[in-house]
Amino acid sequence: MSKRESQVAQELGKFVQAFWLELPMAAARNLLGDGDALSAAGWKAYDAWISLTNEATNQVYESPAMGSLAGRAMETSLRMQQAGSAMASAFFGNLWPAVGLPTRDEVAALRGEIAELRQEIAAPEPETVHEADNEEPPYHRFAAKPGDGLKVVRGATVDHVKVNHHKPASDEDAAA
Amino acid sequence: MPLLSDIANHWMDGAVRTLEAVGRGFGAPINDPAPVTPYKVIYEGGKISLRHYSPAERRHGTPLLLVYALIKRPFVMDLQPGKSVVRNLLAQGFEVYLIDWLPPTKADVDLGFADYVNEEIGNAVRAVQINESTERVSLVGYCFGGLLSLLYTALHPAYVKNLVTLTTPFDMGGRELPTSKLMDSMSDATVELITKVYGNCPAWMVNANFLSMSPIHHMLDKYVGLYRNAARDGYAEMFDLFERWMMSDVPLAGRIFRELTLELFKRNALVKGEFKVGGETVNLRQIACPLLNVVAEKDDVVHPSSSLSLPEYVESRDKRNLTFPTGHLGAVVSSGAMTKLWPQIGEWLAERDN
Repeated sequence: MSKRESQVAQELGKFVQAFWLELPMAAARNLLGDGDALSAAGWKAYDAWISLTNEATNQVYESPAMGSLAGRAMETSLRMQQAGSAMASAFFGNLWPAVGLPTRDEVAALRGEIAELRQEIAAPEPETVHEADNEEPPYHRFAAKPGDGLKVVRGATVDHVKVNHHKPASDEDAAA
Repeated sequence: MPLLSDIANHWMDGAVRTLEAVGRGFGAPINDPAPVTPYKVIYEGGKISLRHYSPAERRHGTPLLLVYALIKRPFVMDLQPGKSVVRNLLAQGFEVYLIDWLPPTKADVDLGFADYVNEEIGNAVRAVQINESTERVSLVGYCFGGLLSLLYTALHPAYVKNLVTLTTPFDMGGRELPTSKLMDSMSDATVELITKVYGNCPAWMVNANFLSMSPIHHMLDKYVGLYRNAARDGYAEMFDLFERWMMSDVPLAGRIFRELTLELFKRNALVKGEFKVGGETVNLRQIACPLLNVVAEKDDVVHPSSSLSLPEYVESRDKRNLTFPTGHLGAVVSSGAMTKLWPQIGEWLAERDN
């Protein structure tokens, strides 16, 4: 018997004791006027059941058959999604130009450009990315050197300059 | 029957929360609770927003940079006035900075460890250096953030004065957690497929991984727990905050997801000395600063065995494990952690301040 199986057996023993022995005894005492005993025994049986189901779930997770099944199911599902996307892309890729409307990606790219322009207009100075200066103390390659006054804003809360190392993206991207 | 109807009501509330989270793709837009402790954002760029918390009375020279995990939102570090790591450290007189990771977008699928460690944490450290006019900071990394801090310290040891790793997955060779065996069943091709299909690893997938660690708890037992503890002061409020945190998953950038799963988890490359960040092999022997490795004894997210051996792999002379009888989340929110663990961490840091 594996370690996990023995743990399941142990939890099963606790559950049987709590549910089939202690709970009926508490119910009998309840008839004699001891109401608290039934409630306590009921919760004990519940806790034992939870522990048992947890151990049983862990045993299922550890079984090679379950692992193999989950792995294959996931791969199949992903391959189907990939194929579906490819088919949709091929279909709409040819159809869309005939309709003459911009695609979602094109709209997103346009929004990105507008956002960039907004930032440029709002920024008092152009953004500059500096490489590390070897003559300076061992600072990292950083978006700005001390004194540039652009990237590290003392005392600011939200009124500061944003530096985007990476391509800005549309609002929809956030849901990716 | 009030018992069943109350539990059913709690369960329905939970189901609505989950559906709302599914509806917004889990991660975005993120609806963090109002911050408990006031802060200022001193730097925002790339994928980080760097928060600065100032103590009422500063007693230590070296600033602390808290490196939070890339998954879920960091408000768990500042959850409630009495359950806030940030407040705890401020009360001990530390200058505290916290990295709030900005969720990756579709444009960020190629962000990997090199970007997050060398660029993003590098920029955060640089911002602290400028703000504090100091050259070295103490890093405190939680969970995945601990792993990032570890890599950063190995690659840029000159900037780190002290390193505290908290419940950090480091040696991923063990398979003690049941879900890790399930993860093993995912082939390399499946991992590649996830990023081919979705770009980034979607937030719902990250969330599903967390939920699968204890499905009975998430499906039923936590609602029963809420019923049973309804009379306890503040329990319902805390439950609500935890739920918000549980549903606050964000996507994981495609490249870092692949590197984490294939290189670190499946091949255990970091421990074997074969893990590369930006073309440079990470040599943990480069870490010579004092190291405090905090291990949660009852951790069921990062098994203790995956972090206990860390001190053996670094060159530091001043290094030790600190084991604490709590779970993964308990290390940052439990009452015991607030009254015992974090004061110990603060004391350890204070002793190494000069």
